[in-house]
Amino acid sequence: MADDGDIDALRSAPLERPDAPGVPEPFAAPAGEGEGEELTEFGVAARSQTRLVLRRFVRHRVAMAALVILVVMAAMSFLAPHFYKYKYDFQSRTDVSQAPSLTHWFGTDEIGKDTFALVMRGATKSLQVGLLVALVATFVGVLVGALAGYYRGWLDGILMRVTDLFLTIPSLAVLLVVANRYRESSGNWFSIMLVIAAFAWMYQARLTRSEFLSLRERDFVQSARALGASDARIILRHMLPNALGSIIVNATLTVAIAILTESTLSFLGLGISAPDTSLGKLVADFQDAARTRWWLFYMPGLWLILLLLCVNFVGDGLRDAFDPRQERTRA
Amino acid sequence: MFGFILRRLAIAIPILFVASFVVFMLVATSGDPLAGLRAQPGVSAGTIKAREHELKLDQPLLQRYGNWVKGAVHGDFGESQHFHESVSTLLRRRLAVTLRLVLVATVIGVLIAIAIGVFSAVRQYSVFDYGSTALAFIFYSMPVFWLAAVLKDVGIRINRAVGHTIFFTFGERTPNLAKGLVGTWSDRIGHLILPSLTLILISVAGWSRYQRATMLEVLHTDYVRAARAKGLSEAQVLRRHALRNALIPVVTVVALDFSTVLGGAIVTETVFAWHGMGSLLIESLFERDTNVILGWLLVASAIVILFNLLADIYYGYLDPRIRRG
Repeated sequence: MADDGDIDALRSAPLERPDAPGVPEPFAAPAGEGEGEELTEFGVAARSQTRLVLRRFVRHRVAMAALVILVVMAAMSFLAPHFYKYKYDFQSRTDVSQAPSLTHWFGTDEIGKDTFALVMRGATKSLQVGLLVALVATFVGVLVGALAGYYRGWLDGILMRVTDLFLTIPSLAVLLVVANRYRESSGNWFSIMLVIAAFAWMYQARLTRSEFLSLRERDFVQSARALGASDARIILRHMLPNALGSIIVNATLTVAIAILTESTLSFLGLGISAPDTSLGKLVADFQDAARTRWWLFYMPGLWLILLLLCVNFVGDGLRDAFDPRQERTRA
Repeated sequence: MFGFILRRLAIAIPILFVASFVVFMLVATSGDPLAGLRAQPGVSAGTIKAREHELKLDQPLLQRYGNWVKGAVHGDFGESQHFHESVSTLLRRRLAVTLRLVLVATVIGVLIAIAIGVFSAVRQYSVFDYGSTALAFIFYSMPVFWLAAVLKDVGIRINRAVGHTIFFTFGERTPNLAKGLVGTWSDRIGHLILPSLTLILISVAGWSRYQRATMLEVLHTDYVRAARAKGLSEAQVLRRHALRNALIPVVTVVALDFSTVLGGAIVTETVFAWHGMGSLLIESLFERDTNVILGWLLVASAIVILFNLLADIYYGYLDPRIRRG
């Protein structure tokens, strides 16, 4: 009974997409056609793939809520220096070890620093590192994966062995070793970001490779090649747009992993260093204050978890939006 | 099967050698063990030269690598500058502590993850399924260090409320304990509870989701439908047809995740002040104790490669297609 429902859902899934009556999009819209896409031959306004994905995402309530919270949190942390009275490096002589109040939203520490300002500063660093790592790692991963999957042969062999090698070396330990080099340099968040990105591209590479391996056998790629398109054109204009869904989803999850890694490095004392701060560093610094001044320890941690939870929920919503058929048996 | 194992070994050993090369180059180029000495005022160039010669830093990089690998093959990783003992005895002692934590957490974690995953797949969209999904999401997003620190805080609060120590929150054993074999081991298990709970909660979050997805996939296959169609009881269908096939992939995931669990153990040990591999690595990094860092990374890579190898062999044993392909 339940199985019948499944089969029906699968059968009807492609039909629900009015833009794709059995013809893959890149083939239906070959190069150079900018206009005339508004109406299909059926006389119905065409919905682009992007519009469909957006619609499905907006209807995903949890993911939308997560996105809204995420945007608010990001805005708060980036704008905090402009609307909040205290700066993260300001020390008050009088307000020492105060509990959360209307003046000090998250309280203060033993040298009179404002916890809310510190947490916002830490969240800014986390978001900066997370987004940039995702950008760099996705670029490297897609490049490696696309080259390996498109050209196969010896290039594929070499690139995938290198990827495997990066996966077998215990990543956190190696990160610690490399990050140790930048420990003492102040304003070191950029080098920390690059180090994390150097060990975050492997899954993206594997994923893109497997997408490209299956895409290159598809008819629309074959026909593009028959029409004389160059390799670069086939990869960039025909294959990449079709692999974009899984690339974006994985990039979102990379943001979460990067934030997690950065905070772990900073917690262990090998990430973002002293004059500056990070959520992981705050948790480490105030670990022993947990029982006497709970706000110092719990506020940075809860903020960090909320941040990670939202990023993961957005990623999950994007996955559903890009591939609604997965929904039935999705993890 | 024997040929398959040999083929896998023939891949694993070269990988280990390449990994050792990468590790050596990484460490050799990313920190100067004499930086502290150089920064000190009043240290003559001659002293630094002598130190360099003593640590063989004046030799070419490739030659240093060759010497190191030659020693490592015989189990000799050199001496630790900071701990003043041979790196191999140091690693052996620390590894025993860390492996105790990692293995206990992995075994218990896998069992719990399988149980949760299978049950929420069989009762898909039930209260249990939604509840475990929500919890998995929360723990999946939780940094290990935060969870460990919170559990430590809760443990200490409970200890204070009760008035005596229920949860050990410091170290891997009580120092200078003389209580015989039973006493020693119950003490060790007591110290294991909170750290392994940390690792279990985090790893179960990921693994149970994976187990659930696999089980759902199997439940929708034709052979399960065939088993139902021929009139087997639901229990028999689940146990003999579905579960058996659904247990295969999760083992690979667990083996591949070993490096992540090891990373989690580094953090957990730091929070609970264990004298294991984690604190060893971090201390050596701060002290720039090159020999220890090199030995640490090589041993850890070897363990990760070994676990991948075991997963491969296990998979090949269960699935003949992989063995022949």
